[in-house]
Amino acid sequence: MIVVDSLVKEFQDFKLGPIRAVDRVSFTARPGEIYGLLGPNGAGKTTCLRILSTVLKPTAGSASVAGFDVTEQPEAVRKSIGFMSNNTDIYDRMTAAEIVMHFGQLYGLPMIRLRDRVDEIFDLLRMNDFRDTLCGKLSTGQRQKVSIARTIVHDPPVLIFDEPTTGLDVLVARTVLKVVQRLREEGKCIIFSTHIMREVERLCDRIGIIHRGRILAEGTVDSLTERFGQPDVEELFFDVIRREDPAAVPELGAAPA
Amino acid sequence: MRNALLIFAREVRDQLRDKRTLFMLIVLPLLLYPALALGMIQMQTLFNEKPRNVVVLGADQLPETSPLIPLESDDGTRFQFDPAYFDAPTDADKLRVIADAEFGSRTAIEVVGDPETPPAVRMRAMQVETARDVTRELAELEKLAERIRPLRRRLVQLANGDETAEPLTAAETDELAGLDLAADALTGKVSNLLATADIQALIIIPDGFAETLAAFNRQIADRTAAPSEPVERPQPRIVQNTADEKSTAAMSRVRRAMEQWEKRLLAERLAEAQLPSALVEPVAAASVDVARTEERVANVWARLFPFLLVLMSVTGAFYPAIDLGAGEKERGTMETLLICPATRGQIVAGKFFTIFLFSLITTILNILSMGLTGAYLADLVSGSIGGIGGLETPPLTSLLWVLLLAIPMAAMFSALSLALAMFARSSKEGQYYLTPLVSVTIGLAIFASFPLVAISPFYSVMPVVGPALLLKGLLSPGLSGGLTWYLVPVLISSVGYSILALWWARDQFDREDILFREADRFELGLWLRQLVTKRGETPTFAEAGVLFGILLFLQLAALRVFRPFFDASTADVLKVVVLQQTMMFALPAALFGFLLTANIRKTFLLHAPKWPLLAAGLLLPLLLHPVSIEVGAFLGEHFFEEPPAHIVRAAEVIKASEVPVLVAIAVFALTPAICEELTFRGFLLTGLATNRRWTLAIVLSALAFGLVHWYPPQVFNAALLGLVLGLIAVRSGSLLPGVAFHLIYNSIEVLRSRVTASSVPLPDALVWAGEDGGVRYGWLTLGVCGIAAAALILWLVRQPVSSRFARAATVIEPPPEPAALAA
Repeated sequence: MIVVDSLVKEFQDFKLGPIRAVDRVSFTARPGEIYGLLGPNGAGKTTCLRILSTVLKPTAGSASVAGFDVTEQPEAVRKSIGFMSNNTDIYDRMTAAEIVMHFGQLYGLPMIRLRDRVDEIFDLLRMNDFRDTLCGKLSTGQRQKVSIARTIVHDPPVLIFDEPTTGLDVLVARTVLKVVQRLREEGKCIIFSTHIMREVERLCDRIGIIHRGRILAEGTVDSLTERFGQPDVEELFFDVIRREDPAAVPELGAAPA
Repeated sequence: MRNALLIFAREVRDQLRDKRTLFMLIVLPLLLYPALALGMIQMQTLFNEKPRNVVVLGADQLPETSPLIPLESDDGTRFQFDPAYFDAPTDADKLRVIADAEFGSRTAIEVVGDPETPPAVRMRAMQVETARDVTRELAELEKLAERIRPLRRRLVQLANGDETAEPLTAAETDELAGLDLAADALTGKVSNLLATADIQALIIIPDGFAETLAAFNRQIADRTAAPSEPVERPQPRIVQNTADEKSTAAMSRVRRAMEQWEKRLLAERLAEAQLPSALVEPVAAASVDVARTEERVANVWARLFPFLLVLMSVTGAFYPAIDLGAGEKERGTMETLLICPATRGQIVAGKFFTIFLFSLITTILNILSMGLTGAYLADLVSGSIGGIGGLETPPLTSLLWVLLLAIPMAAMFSALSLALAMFARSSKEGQYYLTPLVSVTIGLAIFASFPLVAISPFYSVMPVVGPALLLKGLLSPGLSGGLTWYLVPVLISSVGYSILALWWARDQFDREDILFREADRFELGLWLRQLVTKRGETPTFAEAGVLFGILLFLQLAALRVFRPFFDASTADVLKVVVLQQTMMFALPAALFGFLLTANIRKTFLLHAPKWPLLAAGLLLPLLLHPVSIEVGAFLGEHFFEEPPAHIVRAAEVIKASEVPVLVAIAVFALTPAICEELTFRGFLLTGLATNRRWTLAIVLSALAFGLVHWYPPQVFNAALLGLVLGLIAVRSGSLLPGVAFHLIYNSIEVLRSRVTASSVPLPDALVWAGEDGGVRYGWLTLGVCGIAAAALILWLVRQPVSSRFARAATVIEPPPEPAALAA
């Protein structure tokens, strides 16, 4: 269960002064549901999710994860989420198994249960053939699998995936999406941030379209396409953003600015 | 704790898998010193000193009884210094003697023109001819010098204020300049001649040298020599070029040989006059070295080990720290670590202990490797030339001391390096911080290695210097007794510095701008403009830090600028004190306040205090003065040397009878009370309290207040008083109680120094007379005042932080305030 209430995050920019990266964002994600955070690059998705992972503190507003407040109980929040983004890389000088074991230990899993859990995850993600290879020598896809294994090792009730398929080939991307689907079936509460429309259509129960730090539209995929009268998510996305900020979506053939 | 251990174990494994780290930290020290030693031995055997050319003109004028350069070959061409003149007889071969006697009356042209002359002889003939040229030029030079000398002497007399000297006319000044130029050109010509002819030293024996010498010897033997008259006699001259290393090397040998030769001539003279050889040595003091061999050995290591220890712990800590801090950010794994349940403190602890471990290992390996190599080398060469400078196996106890002191040193550098590494955004940026860190460290280490610098209570609490000096003391033979108790302050202060640095490192984790620093574009102009136009209400931590840096710099400059004035009249001293207070403290603080902050009242705490706190400010100085004076006196007597001259002079002026009491109070009490309070409890304290760190602000402002006092007992005293002053300021939110405290405290001190104990008819338990008759406080005064002061301070500690002061502190990261949303 994730409850985000009027979250605001401001940064100080050297030249521009304070910048609102996240502007009064509110949404709720329930167990057994994938909430899609859809937005272009720099829309504030990552900042928003970083606040949920407690590495950033909100300027105003509040957020709670699995019943714990992100500013009051950051350690409890971190224990109950699995968080994966492009900024959570893995250690090059450790093997796949070592990394997953290490984080399992940090999450406080007892050794016997941890071993079983690691075996289980390695079978699930088909990682056994590079189990004892140093991560520095793995391919991008294999590294991403290690990251996923690291994210889910402690079986958290809440999972946050920030653009997990970026830079992956189709095969690995498919595996990632399947894992996410399976996690939903297990009853996890999942936030899935992306800018790839097909992933949204396939996975998400509800979506929030975020642009310039603000959520412009929110609801199930069907209700949104109906509301905006657009046939698919991609057109819906463009339409929502165009209504708010016409300059951001150039028309085909329009003169470059 | 478990998480810290897990992170520690992971980091250590990670470092052990990094080939570069392993090589730098473990393999390199093990290979470096043996390789260096091997290289040195190789160089030693390869390096054969080439013989240097010494030309002797007038060789036939030398006495024959004690020859300087006896003939070596039967054909009368090869000369050599008598090997008996050198410590090692083979040294004579290092000087190749070319004497004009070889060619008799033949000129160089004749010798060179002879087709049968071998090339080596031709070369020698050329050298002798050049030497003759040089002699002629030298005669010219001497003529010039004779004309220059009287003019110069007059100049010197004029400079010394001798009024009998006649000022130089314009013509004479021109003449002197011309002569100087000519002499300079001639000197250059001579050195060129010598260089082109490859002559490193030239000895010119004047005509009739041997005869004059023999004649004088005879006079002495006949007792006909006039005892007090200066003897006119031809003196040999030695020409060298001190700017040329080869020439200097040759000269040191020539000089040794000539000294020995002169001794032999002297012995001859005494023998001829039938005088005892002890005639010229009325004292003949013999020096006895009581150092045992092992002590001499220890002495070498006592100088080497502390330096090595400092250098190795800083490098051993720095490289892993960069990898663990900036490297982790760079590789994108920092966020992975931050989202795991470990707290920031646990992460810092895990990383710190990893760096500490590697720093310690590097230090120990380096020292062991160097010690063993040194011992082996010493063993190798001891057979041939009797040890090199006492370098032998260090005693085992030395190694144990090194190991013990490596711990605080490694801890401090590990914490500091980690903080720097966390601050850096990339490994490259991290490397930039190494240079300043190492420069400061080496500066301190060099200071500690000065021969006469020994550990004292003051030095023992200084970073780097403390452990280095203690180690030096412990390793020095005969000095180590009674030093072990210094382990306590050294260890405690090192732990303190480590904690401070770790706290800083931990602090970096709360700073989002540092943790997620993107490559910000930086423009100096814009930054400066923003500093002034977008200034906050009150100063920030960094601004306070900069002001303190400037104050320290000004103080250092003031030492030079103002010190001469302290020798001046009493009135001048008073002016200088006022000037120093206003220019060095009040003015910079006020400038900073007006330029960098928008709310002067808040910055300088210009509010009315609540009366109980004002009362505390009035009462506390009365209670603390006795304690502070006695502590200062105790420290001054037992631990520190004489106060510097300017402090002594200031103390004289304070009690000078020609200065009215009110003036003394205005200068020495009122001025500092206002200027120093504005600076230290105003700008510095509010700035340092950024993000509501009250305790830190009080401690740091007190340290700053102490440090600007320079003289160690005053530093200590001022820092302690600074704690109390800071406490009052934070509790009252007003500058006034501090000003009152400062004014009263200094006024009492002015008054105390102006009365003698005999004029105060009180029992010794209250007041007694010090050595100079001054007022000192008795045990009863001390006890009562001490207890009362402690109670009052305790009451202050229990007071809440003034809301005024809380509002004055800049808050960089505002905590979430949901209410702000409604707006």
